[in-house]
Amino acid sequence: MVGGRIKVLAESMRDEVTGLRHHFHRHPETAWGEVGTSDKIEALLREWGFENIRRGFRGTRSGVVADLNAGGEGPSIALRADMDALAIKEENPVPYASAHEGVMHACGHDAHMAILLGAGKILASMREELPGRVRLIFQPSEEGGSTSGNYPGAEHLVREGVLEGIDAIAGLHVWSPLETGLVAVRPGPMMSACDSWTAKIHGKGGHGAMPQDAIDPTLAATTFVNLLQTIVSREVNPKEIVVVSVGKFIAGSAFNIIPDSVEVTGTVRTFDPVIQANMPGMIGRIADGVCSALRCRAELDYTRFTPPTINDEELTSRFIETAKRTVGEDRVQASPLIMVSEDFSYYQEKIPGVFFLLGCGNPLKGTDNPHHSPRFNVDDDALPTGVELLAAFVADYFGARGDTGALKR
Amino acid sequence: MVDIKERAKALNGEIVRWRRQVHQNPELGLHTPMTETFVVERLREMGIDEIRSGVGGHGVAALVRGKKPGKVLGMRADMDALPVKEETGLPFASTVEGRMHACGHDAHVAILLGTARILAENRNDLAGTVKLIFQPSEEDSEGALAMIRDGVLEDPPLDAIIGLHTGNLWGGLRSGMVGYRHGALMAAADWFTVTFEGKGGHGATPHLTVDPIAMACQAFSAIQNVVSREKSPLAPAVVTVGRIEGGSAPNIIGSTCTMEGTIRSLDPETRSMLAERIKAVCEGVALGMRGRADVRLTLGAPALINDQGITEKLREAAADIVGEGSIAAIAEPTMGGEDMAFFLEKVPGSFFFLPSIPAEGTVYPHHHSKFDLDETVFWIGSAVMANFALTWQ
Repeated sequence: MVGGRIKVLAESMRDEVTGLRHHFHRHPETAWGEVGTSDKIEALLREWGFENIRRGFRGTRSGVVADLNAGGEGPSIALRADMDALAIKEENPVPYASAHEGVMHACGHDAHMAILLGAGKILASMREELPGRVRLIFQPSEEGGSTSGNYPGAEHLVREGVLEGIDAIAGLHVWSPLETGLVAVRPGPMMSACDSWTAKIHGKGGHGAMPQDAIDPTLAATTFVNLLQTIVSREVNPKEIVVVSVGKFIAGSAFNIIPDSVEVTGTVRTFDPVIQANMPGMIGRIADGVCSALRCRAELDYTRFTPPTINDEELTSRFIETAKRTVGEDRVQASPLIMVSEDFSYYQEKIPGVFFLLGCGNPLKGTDNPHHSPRFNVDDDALPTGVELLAAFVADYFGARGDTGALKR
Repeated sequence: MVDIKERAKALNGEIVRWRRQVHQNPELGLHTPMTETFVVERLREMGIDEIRSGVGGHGVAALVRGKKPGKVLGMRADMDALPVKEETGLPFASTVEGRMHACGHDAHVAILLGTARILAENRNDLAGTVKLIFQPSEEDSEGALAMIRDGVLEDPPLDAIIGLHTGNLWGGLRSGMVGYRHGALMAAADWFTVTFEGKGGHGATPHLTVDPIAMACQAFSAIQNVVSREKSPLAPAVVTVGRIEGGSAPNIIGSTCTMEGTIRSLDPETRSMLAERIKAVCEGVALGMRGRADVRLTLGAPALINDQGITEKLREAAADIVGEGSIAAIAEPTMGGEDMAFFLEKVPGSFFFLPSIPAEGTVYPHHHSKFDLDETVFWIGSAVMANFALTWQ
């Protein structure tokens, strides 16, 4: 049986995959700078006979995409791993700790790459049995979207055509709040959209003792922040999950000077693409209205970073079957809604996709620290499970479609 | 008696030279040793030798005793400059990087030296005693208090005090005029700093945080109601929040947000009411939003209130110099503050305005890096004060 064979192969690759993760962990690179990481991945994929190797996106040397059965006629599926590390100084006392001062794989992307390479190697070894194309996507800059004004990698890869000829996509995130070996997933929305915005409110500066000669933008800006609360409390359906947060408010330089302008910066989170699409209009309307009432002028700069991660219903129920068979019925959980975002959603905007969480938290090993913490680390025992899940899901995907009899069941 | 007006006019070149020397060597706050020395040297040259320097740090108090008996009159000039980088391009611009006389205190020093010179020459006609007070740290509201604490109002005690401000503080008055006002002229200037304390966290999980920016915005709104709904509409006052700063990134809720503002008022009741209510509103709003507010109030100078009788005498003394047509009543008080008010709290007196407005196109507000004065009118200030000293009793 294919499933059993994949389990044995995944287990046999435990040391190899762990070694790969430790290599990536030791050599972290931040968004759009994943060149050494890409070199390593490209070399392995070539060695294992992958075809159609595309290297570098958005004019960089970051990112690798490669196919098995590139010329095949049948169905096709892509698996995706993100590659970027974070600008965090590592505090883990491990021999494979970051060799790059101030840069660290603190979100588990090192594990994602190792797992995808493991699954890719297994799938490469059984390519003749696969009735369709398998594409591996090693994507730069997952973090870039929401943190640094960088560009979300997935958005660029989609624009540069990495989904052409692909029917479905799967991806995972190792998850430290979840016990090692557990799998969590849910059909429909799972992770929130994330946008960022800056409202610049222009008044007229002057002396604090002579308000009549000035137009106070701080008055408009505070009123704007107060009225923003009504988007959640009065405007959207109370059943929808929406957050509008002001993270930064900078007004003025001294106690007795009325400034010319004020800058308010915030974020929006929602699971509903329609609310996300309407949000610039809602925030802009409140800013303009307040400013018109208070003789100011508003400029809203709204950036849509990440759509909500929405799992395809059918694909997800297929995945749940694979997961239950692979890790055991009682080890597959319904994921809660998660208020952080993941740019995997850009792929899901184009084709059906499933994104799941793989537990990597083990308090005994100290791998239960939060993501992005300088002491975040992954329990390596989660790696073979991840390898098996991805490879088995691809096998099941082709089998379940019943396109050929090539799979020897 | 000598013609004060002509004597002062003849002295203008000297006054301008003094002003330029002070202008080139600006000093900040309470630390004005070079200006102090400059003043003491000039006074000695005039034969004024009853000088107490080092008053309240670097202040100077000097006595000019008249030959006739009479009361004691104080005359005050402030000496401090500002932390402003001068951009006037003047040949006598500041020689100290990042410091500038951008409020006219250089002229105040020179004008009072001019007055001292005239009075020293006319002791025979002077009744009583004039105490010349050169004060540091007006901008920080520390100098007047420091000198009072060091006994500047004693030995001999003052019966009255006068002083002036030059520049372009009040609109509608031209160079060559003198402005006066009975009663309130400048506001009490207090300031407050509020730190709203909440609980920081991720912007996507607001329920796990207590948002201090939200508190600051609500408190800002509530403060407007204190002015519009709680204060008597008959009592002029301003509350300005000049600065709010909270947070570091769009998606992180910080744990604190700071708000700073100023309170300007013209009477003591309104002053204390506003301070109490702003504190209570900030604390109440923060408490209502599950946080807390730490409110710190710093009292600046009180409102500057001119004495009716002395102001009338001053008006007359000024009219002698510039003519009735060039005397103007200042229509309304400015909400700006002035620490001369500390002297006027203790001693009846009058603070007047000497408009000194340079050529059109070169007029900049006080504290501006290109602020300048019309030097041709300095003598008027010296003449008005000298004439007042000779006529007020």
